[in-house]
Amino acid sequence: MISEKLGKNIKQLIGDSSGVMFLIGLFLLVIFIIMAVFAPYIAPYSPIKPTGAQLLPPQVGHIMGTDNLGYDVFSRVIYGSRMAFSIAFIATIIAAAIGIPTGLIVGYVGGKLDSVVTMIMDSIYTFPGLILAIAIAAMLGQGLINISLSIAVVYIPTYYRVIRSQVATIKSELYVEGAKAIGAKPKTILSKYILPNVLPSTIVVLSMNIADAIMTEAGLSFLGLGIAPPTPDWGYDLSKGQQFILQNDWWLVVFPGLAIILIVLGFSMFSEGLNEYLNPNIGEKR
Amino acid sequence: MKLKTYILTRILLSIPMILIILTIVFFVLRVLPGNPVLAMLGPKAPPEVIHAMEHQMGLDKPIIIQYFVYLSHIAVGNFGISTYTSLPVLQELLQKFPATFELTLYAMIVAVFIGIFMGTYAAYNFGKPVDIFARVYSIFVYSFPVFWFGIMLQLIFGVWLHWLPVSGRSAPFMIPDHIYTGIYTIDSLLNGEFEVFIDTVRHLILPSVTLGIVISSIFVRMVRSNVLLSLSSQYVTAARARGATEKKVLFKHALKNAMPPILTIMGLQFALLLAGAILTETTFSWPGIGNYLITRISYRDFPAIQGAIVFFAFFVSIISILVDIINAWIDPRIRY
Amino acid sequence: MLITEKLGVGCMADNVVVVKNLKKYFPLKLPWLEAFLKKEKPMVKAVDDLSFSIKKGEALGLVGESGSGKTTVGRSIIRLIEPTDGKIEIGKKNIINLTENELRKERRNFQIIFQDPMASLNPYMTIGKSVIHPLEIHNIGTPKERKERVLEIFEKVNLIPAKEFFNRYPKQLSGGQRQRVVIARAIITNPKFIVSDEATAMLDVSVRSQVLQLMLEIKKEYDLAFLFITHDLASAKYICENIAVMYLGKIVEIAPTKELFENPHHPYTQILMSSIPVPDPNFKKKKIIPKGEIPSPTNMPTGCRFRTRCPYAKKECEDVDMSLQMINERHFSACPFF
Ligand SMILES: Nc1ncnc2c1ncn2[C@@H]1O[C@H](COP(=O)(O)OP(=O)(O)OP(=O)(O)O)[C@@H](O)[C@H]1O
Ligand SMILES: [Mg+2]
Repeated sequence: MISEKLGKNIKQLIGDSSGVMFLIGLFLLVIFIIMAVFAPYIAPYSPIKPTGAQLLPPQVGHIMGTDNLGYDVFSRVIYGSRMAFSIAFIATIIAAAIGIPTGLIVGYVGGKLDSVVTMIMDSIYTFPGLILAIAIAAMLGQGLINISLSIAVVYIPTYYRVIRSQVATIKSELYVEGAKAIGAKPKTILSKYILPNVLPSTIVVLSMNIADAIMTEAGLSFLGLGIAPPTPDWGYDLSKGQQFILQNDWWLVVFPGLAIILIVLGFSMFSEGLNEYLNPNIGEKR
Repeated sequence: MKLKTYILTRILLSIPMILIILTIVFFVLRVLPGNPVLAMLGPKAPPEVIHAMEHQMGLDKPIIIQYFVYLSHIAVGNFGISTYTSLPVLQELLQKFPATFELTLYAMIVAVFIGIFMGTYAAYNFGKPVDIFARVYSIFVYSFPVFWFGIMLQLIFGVWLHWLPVSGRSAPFMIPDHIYTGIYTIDSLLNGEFEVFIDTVRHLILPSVTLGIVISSIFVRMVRSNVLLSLSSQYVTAARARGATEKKVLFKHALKNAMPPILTIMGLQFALLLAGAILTETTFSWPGIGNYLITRISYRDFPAIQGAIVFFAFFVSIISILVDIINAWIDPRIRY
Repeated sequence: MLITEKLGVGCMADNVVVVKNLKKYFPLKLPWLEAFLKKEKPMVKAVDDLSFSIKKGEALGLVGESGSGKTTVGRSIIRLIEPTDGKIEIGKKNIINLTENELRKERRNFQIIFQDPMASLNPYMTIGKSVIHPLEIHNIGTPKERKERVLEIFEKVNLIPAKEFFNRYPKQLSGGQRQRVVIARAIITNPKFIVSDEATAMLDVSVRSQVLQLMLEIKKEYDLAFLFITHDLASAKYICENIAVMYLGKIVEIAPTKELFENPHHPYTQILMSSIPVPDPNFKKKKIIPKGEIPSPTNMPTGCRFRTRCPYAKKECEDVDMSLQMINERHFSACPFF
């Protein structure tokens, strides 16, 4: 996963002070969350109403300039965070809602079921995620839910693999055998003895996954497979802005790109710090 | 296990994986809510026309029969006929493939080159500014969306400096006379067309550097930590003690020990490279399979879309088999 | 077969646990290609034809070197792992025939205490919840009664003040306290039979004797049948009425504790006895050293399994079977020559 490697890098850079990393990540996230929640109050213009002045470079009144339709780029960047968050959250929740139970059950049952499901999940996992998402998005068409679904499919195996491998080790722990010995049903064992023990690492995967989903979403909408225009979306704005770079209208592409980079960095640092905090020993094992 | 046995098992093991991807692609494209015929003809098409089209495409048969027909077609290399150009999809794909291959090949070379040099120097100057630069580099570069980075390079080197062309694979009339491999850098040299070669390279630089730099982050990190490890190993200490020059110690001994993991990473990053290639091709209008896929999506050319994805599946499988075999050949322990 | 009958016969009435011809074979893991080609799958005979019985209020010690199959016996008789073959009765109930569901219900009657108390407790459950859980599973009492019962048991196992301990997590306890929690969990459903698999092996020496004392107390108080697995003969002597000595999946000698210590018959038992430190220096035993390593259970010697290491081994040992021979009414040994 992009964010996992990123976080590891950053941690290496600032040494043992993973608390600092967590805080920087948190700071970036809080800024983006505030942007998304209070977009109407922060943005100076409506993101989907032309302001009348087309292709203006950054200046007072339009600090990030305007695009070819006269939309205010700064306002679109602010509102774009909404799209990034919504799709990333929905996709992550769908992927987790399918991947986690599957990993739990298959990891616990083991045997033939395990071999078959794991082979399927591994095949999806090794296949380039963006290409799979493109295929599904191409079929489903544009729209918030459709894009989220296409992205979710890509990340189901991530959850499955993390959960399954943990369950496979945890199920041979003595306390699971102890639960069997007191007559607990498999359902109880899974929910009370195994799930709480895999949850901390799941939370980390969830938060890393959001960064990846944002990246994939940006890619899909750059390719024109995202949300229908004129809804503000960083990836889409980038691809539209690219048409004007030959005229040197750099502000159309620089700012949405920076937003993507900062939000991805934020989530990566945040989740790596979280990982350090929740699973102090897991880092080395992975 | 003998190498031959290993190769055989590895190939056999990849068959289920390819089958699974084929199955997923099939069901994604056939079972998901969208109806390909409706999508192609538009919602206002008269029912007779829709039925005729469905019949022609075999869509009126039970889904399971369609599935096996599809598998048997793929097995004999029949990827269907494009509804946009009416050409066999496989023929189109094979014609586009060398462009994608050339792009990914040079991107990989760029990535490995940066990885080895930056990683080695960072490790050698552990904790010094070079090292810190390398680490900041690999953090930032990895968070770049590849298309955004591509556009930035276009802006800087194409628009501001006018050094390099910003899109396409070659200037008009700058295509090699005879196509042997489809890889223009090789074909132009084989033809002795030096100008064409220069033009090809100029077009190739921005896309392959874009993709290469984004991928290079992992290599830098990998090489750096491996070289750090082997620099502290007895082997290197011994070489130093024998009086080997520092340069020799670094490149001959430390780096040599760090090489095998690089190969594994190359294999692992391949999926990422291909995904990146699609975005890069779109950014630079590079006429490869990624660009083909995206264009055909906008034309709703379903046989082409399906074909391109199946083609990617085979490509990924073949590369991962190759990487595994090379690894097993270098390091016999892997075979067990 | 005659001997095994005798082990249980006579006082059948108060036998809580009867195990007959218990076998547990583990298939050996092979690389898949080899596994595919080989017709006969090689097996690890971890437990090979074992019979014994335990009376109400009595403890049977199961001693033997590491790898002799003690844990496998303990786990198979309560079907935490499925036995390959054999008959098991606990409290007159045939355990082997039970379906999964019936077995789960029956589990309130027999419990197991493992070696590692930290690993036996769910780190994300307070110890109160851990101990109350068996009552919830078996639907015993109202929630209020359950909690009262847990507090009562906590006091019994000396986790005082019980109310405070109730809400603690395992990592906030010492090793001895954790094992007390595990014991509390084991006895909370009033079982008839408890397996203790080296329950004190990981504890500090000082704590060990306290926990042993506690086990002795609960055994008396609840009239429990105990299977006390250990490789420490001294603690077996402290707790157990009878002791069975295991070697490579077989019982080589079984006898009342006193009898076994005074008159060990099987050469292997003698070796085990000679290797425990004797407190009384005047009572020095002749030290007999076993030769070599314990053989791998996949490649067992023919005849007597102990002959490769037995100081008295002779030619005939290659074809004896290891059935138990009667020494007296309650003492049996698997060596026909000694
Ligand atoms: N799940 C298993 N799969 C395969 N072999 C096993 C399994 N469990 C135990 N064995 C084998 O069965 C034999 C007996 O093991 P067991 O754990 O019962 O011995 P033990 O007497 O309890 O030893 P220790 O004193 O070390 O606990 C060993 O050779 C072991 O390798
Ligand atoms: Mg054991």
